[in-house]
Amino acid sequence: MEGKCSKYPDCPAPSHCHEGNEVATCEFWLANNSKVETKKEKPIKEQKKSNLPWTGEAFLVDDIPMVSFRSSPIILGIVGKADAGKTTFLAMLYTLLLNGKTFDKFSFAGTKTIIGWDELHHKLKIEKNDVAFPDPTDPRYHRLFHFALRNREGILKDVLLSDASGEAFSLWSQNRENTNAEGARWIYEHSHGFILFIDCQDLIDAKNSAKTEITDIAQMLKHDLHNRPVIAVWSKSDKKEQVHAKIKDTLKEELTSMFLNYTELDISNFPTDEPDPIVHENNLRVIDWLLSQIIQPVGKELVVDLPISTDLFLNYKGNE
Amino acid sequence: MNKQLLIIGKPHSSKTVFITQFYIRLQKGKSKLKLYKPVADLSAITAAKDALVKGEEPEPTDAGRSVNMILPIQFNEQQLDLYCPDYGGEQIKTILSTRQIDKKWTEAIKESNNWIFFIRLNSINRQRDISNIIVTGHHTQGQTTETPYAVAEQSSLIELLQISLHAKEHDYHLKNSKVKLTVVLTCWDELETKEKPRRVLEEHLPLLLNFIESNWLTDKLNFIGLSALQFPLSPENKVKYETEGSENFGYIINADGDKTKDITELISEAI
Repeated sequence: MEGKCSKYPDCPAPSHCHEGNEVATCEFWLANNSKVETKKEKPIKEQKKSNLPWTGEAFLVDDIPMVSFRSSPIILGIVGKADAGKTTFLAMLYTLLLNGKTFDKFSFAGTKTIIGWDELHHKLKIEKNDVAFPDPTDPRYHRLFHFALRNREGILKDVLLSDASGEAFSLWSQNRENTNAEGARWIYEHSHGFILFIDCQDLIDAKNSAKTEITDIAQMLKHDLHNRPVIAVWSKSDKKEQVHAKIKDTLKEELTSMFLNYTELDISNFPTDEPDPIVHENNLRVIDWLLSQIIQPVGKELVVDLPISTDLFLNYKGNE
Repeated sequence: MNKQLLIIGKPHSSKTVFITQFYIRLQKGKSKLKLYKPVADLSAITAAKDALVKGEEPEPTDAGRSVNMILPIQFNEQQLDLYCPDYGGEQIKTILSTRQIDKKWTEAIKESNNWIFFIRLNSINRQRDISNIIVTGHHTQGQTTETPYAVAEQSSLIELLQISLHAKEHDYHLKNSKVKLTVVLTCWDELETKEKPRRVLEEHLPLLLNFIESNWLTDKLNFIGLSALQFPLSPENKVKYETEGSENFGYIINADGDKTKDITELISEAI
């Protein structure tokens, strides 16, 4: 019986012990009371709630109103199969900005997801001669990373970059309605422009079957695309030379014929030179190109060419 | 209500040394400025004052202490309050870690249209990442030792400004024309540079500079260097302090790179 001595029912333990022992060492007491106390799980000390409207972490879809209240954000969809370097591309973008590289026509006006960005950047730091690289993106959800950018005219643009797992895209490329491809579907529906990842390493290793997977995703993207821009990025391009020329050329050809508003760029995370354009320039140029396609310059002001006539009535221009 | 000049700085950004030196100069009549009334509470700088008199490096302020420090300054016809609501910088740390901004800070930010942002560049480690070194095979083939996440100093300074702008109810559609921001790069002597302050900030924290310039009108921005001690207090220099008095040392570098021997000039740079 808990709380009682197992030998002497009237033993006053735990205050004293009939055997003259310390209660903690008395075998008769312990026989009844040695059960490891199952502590009730203490409620985690309630963290003081932040009184800031944003957490700094990457957005989920529900967080979009945190920027959409002030402008309609431009959503850029990052599309490609697993391990193609999609999340690392995001990590590299922020890392380059931290190192003083800039977008072409925009300055950096802030971000609501700075902790999210910084955590990605952390994975590209070199610690003890070692780079961790971002973990594969959790297939259960997709995240969005935010930049506020200001153009030369001082106009603010909010940009959201998607980060969904490659599995979602592979499933979606086979069946648009696949229940586990929600992330891919959302990105496809809502993005204003797309970055399609071509993994050079995968093309080297899996050759034509890797190529087919890319064209499958591209096909799905093409459906109902309208004029949304697509940029194909050849990731891990430091190895592009090793991709079989035939695979490279035919893939390029197929993609070019598939999309109307299309370009491509080589990117890499491993500079072999300082500076190395495929690392230090091209990662940022991917975003520059998409934004230049999405944000169309406001058309020229209409100039009305008035015929000059000797007729006073026709020449009348109000109170000019 | 007097104009408030608000000093914002993380712990160890050299706020103590500056305010103490500033106060000593005013007290000794070594400045064009004066105090318009005695300082109500000097406890925050007492220890630092005693140290400087002896030519010793003041101990960093105990970050756990949170003392308000206000210097009431007569500047020409104007009365200004140089306000440091969080002397040790502990609250700034808490704001960043708990993402909670307390009432005192919110009010201080709302009431001040002159922010003085202290950054000590030399205490910021430059992190190596794969974009700035040539990575070889051995960087990627070793066992991946996951190092615990620590926020990059640059990201945390940007977030600190974002939080401050939020408290100020800043509208990001427009560049800031209300708040003058003076970025003060402290312990300038440690940097051993002949560059102008803005250029030095660009070299060390380019994204922070990009953020600032993207959100402030140019005429509401100033970048200056500050060396409140003038040199590290080595044994030889200690003698100089003991014999000549700490008030005769320290300088600021204005945006054009010119040196001024009077650190209280920082006020005219910040208003």
